[in-house]
Amino acid sequence: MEDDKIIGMLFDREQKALEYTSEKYGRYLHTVAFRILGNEEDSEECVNDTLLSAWNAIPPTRPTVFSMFLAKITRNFAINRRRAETAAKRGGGEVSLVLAELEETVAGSENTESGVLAEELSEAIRGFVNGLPEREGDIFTRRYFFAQSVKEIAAGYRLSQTNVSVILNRTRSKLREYLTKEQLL
Amino acid sequence: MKAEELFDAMSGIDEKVLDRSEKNLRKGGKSPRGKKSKFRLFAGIAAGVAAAVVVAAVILRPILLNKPVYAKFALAEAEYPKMVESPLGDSGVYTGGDADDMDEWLDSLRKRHQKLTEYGSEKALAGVNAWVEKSLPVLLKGGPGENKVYSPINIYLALGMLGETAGGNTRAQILELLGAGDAADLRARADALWTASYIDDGVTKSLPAASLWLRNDTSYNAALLQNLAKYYHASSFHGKMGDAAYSKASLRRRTRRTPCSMRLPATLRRSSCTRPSITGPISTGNGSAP
Repeated sequence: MEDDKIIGMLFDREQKALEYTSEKYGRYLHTVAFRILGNEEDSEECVNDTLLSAWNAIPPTRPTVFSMFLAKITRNFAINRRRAETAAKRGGGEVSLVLAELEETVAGSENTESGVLAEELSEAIRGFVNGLPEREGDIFTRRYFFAQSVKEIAAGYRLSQTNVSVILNRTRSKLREYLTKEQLL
Repeated sequence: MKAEELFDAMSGIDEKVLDRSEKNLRKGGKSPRGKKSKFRLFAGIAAGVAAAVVVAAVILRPILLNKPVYAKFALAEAEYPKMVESPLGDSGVYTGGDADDMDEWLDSLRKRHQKLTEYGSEKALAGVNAWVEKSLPVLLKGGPGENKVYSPINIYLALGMLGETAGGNTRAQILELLGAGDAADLRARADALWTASYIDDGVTKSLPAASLWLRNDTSYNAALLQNLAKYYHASSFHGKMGDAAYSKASLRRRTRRTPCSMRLPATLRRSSCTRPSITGPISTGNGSAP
């Protein structure tokens, strides 16, 4: 079913819209969550939470890209769930590698005001990624939003892993400069 | 700021960008500007022009399919390493395309230095530096107002070749001058230095080409000429001195045309000529050395 029709049904408060959403995007959202959590059950719960959130958010929100609207919600749930896990339970996995990479970007940051910064930071990231060339923007997004592995990204874009790593390294340096210029670091 | 905060903040990425990344991933990647990369366009045009040239040659000028005019005079021909085309193109920036091309090109660049590394780059350069210290004051000595151009590697290799053709004391003196232990050591060093100086990847060209132009009324030591071709990458030719064809062949071989000197469509000329290229002989010997 077309996204516009599903959104229309959500606006009309037709509960069948959630079934259609689950059928169409359930598997995809599960993958988004799984990359962050590495756990089937937790990922499934994130997907369920996402469907409920979508029901509550639409209306009044009318997403421009429905799949990515849902992906963002799932990702947030997954991150929160991961954060809530104890240190003992939290293993390695791809997100740990992603965080380690981002750690380099923020290393030495003098800005310790976290709460106030969140919205500004999101907006800055939006501006930064919008300003990147398409290829760099895509690869950056796959890695740092979707937490895809370098190997998966390389295979998907038909690049070598070395090439992807070089692009990510370069983009992280640009991000650091950008955030410093915006006085967020 | 913590890395987790930055990771969280990625939710700020536009949904359209997220969607684009998803679609491009499924399509197997897309070039940054949404159209064929400059390199692919250049390759496509070059392939088309090359095809047209071949067709014209086959129909109108069969002789063009023959070997170069100097080939018939060859006694021993040096081989130039085949290099992978640079995927960086004219701008020096990777603009997409098959990533295997990038890996292959980087590998071919690294291989140029492999011989030098295996020989021992410090040892090789120590020998060259010693030669430079001795030769510089002598070769650049000139009167006021005189400008001189001096290529240390050029003359080092030429003297090495001379050493190959000499024997006894002369050879010993040359080996000492060049800081080499013996002839085998000098050959290995020359080969390593030559290979490290060579590049021809479609964007950058440095062809340290050496050749010998010999009389054809004398016999030559074939093994020697093969050594010169193999280790010094110097081809040997023989012909009648003063003969027009031989002179022409010598000129053609020594001034091999680069893409910049060919008649090409403007796009190709522009694409292939913005990088510096150094082409031509580093040493040419004429004579009748046995």
